[in-house]
Amino acid sequence: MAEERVFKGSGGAAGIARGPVLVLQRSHDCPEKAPQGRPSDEWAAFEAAQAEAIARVDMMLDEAKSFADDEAHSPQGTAIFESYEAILRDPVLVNLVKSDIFNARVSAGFAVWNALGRIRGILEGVQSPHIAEKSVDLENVRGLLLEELGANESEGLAPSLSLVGAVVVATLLSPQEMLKLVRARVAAIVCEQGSRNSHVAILARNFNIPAVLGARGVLAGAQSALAAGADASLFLVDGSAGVVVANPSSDTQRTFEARRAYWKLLGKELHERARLPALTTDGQHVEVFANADSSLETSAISAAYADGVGLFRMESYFLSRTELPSEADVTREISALAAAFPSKPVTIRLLDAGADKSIPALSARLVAKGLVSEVEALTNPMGLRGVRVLLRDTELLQMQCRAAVRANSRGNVRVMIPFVTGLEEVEQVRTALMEAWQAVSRETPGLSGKTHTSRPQTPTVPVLGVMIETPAAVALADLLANEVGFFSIGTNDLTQHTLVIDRASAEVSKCADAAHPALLRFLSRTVEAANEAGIPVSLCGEAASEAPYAELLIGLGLRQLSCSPHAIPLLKETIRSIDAAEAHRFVTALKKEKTLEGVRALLQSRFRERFGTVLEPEDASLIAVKGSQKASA
Amino acid sequence: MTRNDNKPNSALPPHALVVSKEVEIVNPLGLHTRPSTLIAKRTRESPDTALVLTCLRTGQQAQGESVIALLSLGAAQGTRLRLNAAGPAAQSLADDIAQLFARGFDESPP
Repeated sequence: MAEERVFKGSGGAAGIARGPVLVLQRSHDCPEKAPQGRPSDEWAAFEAAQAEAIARVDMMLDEAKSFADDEAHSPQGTAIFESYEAILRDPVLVNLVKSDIFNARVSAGFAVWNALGRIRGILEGVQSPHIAEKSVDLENVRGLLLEELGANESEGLAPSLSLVGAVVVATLLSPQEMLKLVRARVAAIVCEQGSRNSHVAILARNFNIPAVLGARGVLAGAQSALAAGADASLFLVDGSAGVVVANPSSDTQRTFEARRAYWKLLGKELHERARLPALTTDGQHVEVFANADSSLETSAISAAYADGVGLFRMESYFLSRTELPSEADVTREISALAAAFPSKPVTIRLLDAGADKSIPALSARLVAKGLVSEVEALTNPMGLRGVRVLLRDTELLQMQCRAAVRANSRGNVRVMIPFVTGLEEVEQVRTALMEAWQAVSRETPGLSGKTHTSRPQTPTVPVLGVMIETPAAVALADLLANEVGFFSIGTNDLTQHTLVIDRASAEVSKCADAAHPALLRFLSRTVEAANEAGIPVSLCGEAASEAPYAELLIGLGLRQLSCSPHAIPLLKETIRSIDAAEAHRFVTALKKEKTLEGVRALLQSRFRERFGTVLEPEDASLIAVKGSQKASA
Repeated sequence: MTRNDNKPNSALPPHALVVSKEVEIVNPLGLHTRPSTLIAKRTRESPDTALVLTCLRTGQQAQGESVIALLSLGAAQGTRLRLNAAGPAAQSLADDIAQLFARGFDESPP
């Protein structure tokens, strides 16, 4: 009896599957060089093949679009086919083929083979990892053209019947092969090469088929399993953990079954359950908000049943435009968000630009107005960002405040000050906000031009809060809490500034973690200060998106988290498995750990205890949330 | 990548309206396949108008309708380019392409 064998790769698309293994192999033969007719005949054959290939790609594009139910989540699935179409029409390709056919007098197939080879050489010489990946795509384009020219390139794509429910193993798959497999309803896809960013993985997530990429040795393993006979050919695939098991023992099978059952529940009902508020086992309500970069995300945010918008990044909106937006533009953008969630809080963070988030149009404006020296604009010193920049450019500050006041017709807008290091900054922004309110109140009602379904109301001042993302803010938390309506903790920046780490340096930023003992104490202090003053405090850094950290954050006393919409359903589910009182005791134990590694180890083992073999920490990033087509505000 | 060899449209049509703009690559992944495809697609929608992008630092040029030429610029985040459009639809083509650059090709931050 053959032994159980495990192959490890990277998770490409979440889900658990089992099925008989099937190996797909492709061979590439260079077509015959000698032409079959005159150059004009070969050229005509090429043009016909080009047109046919484009038509096929268009069909595949339509198919990919009909699967992706939310454009906001999977434009990448369709982008692959769009790029095929573009390359098939590319003048560089066309001219190389033409030149070979007429000057070198070769067959159309050989010209295509040659042309794509030369193009691959050119692109491989280009210094950029993303562009080097294109050599895989070029093979697929070549395959498309050669198939139309009648050259038989692809073999081993077995008849559809045997593909149903199979675990397909290959070196790597082309998108057109993926579509064939999708239509044939395979159980899972495993590739020897590739990573979670490969096109195979992107498409697998698009079509919700579990996939593992970069599983070294799996191809050989699959072939020997098949050689050993039907008994040995059962394969199990865990698309989140990136694990493939050949010839699993009955224990392994049981574990996988448990996980698969849980995943079926998760897959179908995660969306439904996200509708409900997240309550801990001892009844504490934890609100889960969404982070947003643009009003275009409202449907993704509604689809994830966010309890509101915890962070709208104004600088993302500014960056999305050629020139600085006008007051009317900003008003429209914020109003769209506020109107989409009329009974939920919508938190606008004032423009946080400077340092590594520079906005060229803004820098130009600041220099032109003499608010920032040219040297400062060029060197982007560390502290010149956030509220400091706003307080230099008071026109821009007031413009944003007026826009926020106007958008606040339902009273759900909150305004947040970035990069606070002192109380005087809060005072100055509050003054600007009051002036904005007075200015807008003087305008005639309905001046904004829109007819709301609610009656026009006197605008109220949005609630003012601060980002806690500097050590100074943490130190002053008790004082700040008495001055503002809420706190929002930005763990990414707070970690950087506390541990003195440059986000750009990969080596150094490996040490950056919200679980660092210094950060634990800072977070604790901040939450205590907020609780004492009776103001809400939320956390909007990346730590909020990571399920293993949920217990830590709840144990620290946080009851509001803001993360990216796709992470919301799993986060809510994790919260539902946590006992807040127990979490509090856990954090007390965590604070006794002296090192970052110590804390991390405790967090990971705790997560595993809770979910056992059922859920992996990596699952959060691999689940694609299916969106509804319209906002359900 | 050689500059515009063997391409029928390599030079901008003479005496035509030329619109020139400077653009910068703001999205983190630079000018990879997806942005290049968007540029090529939009350029093709104005068939009698040509677009050429020139890398300011190296002088390397690429036709707007060629994904391969655009990719071979290997232009990363921060690269500044000159955009020249010539033909009847030059203004709207230049405006649309400049918009794409400014919006970072709508790629969400990593």
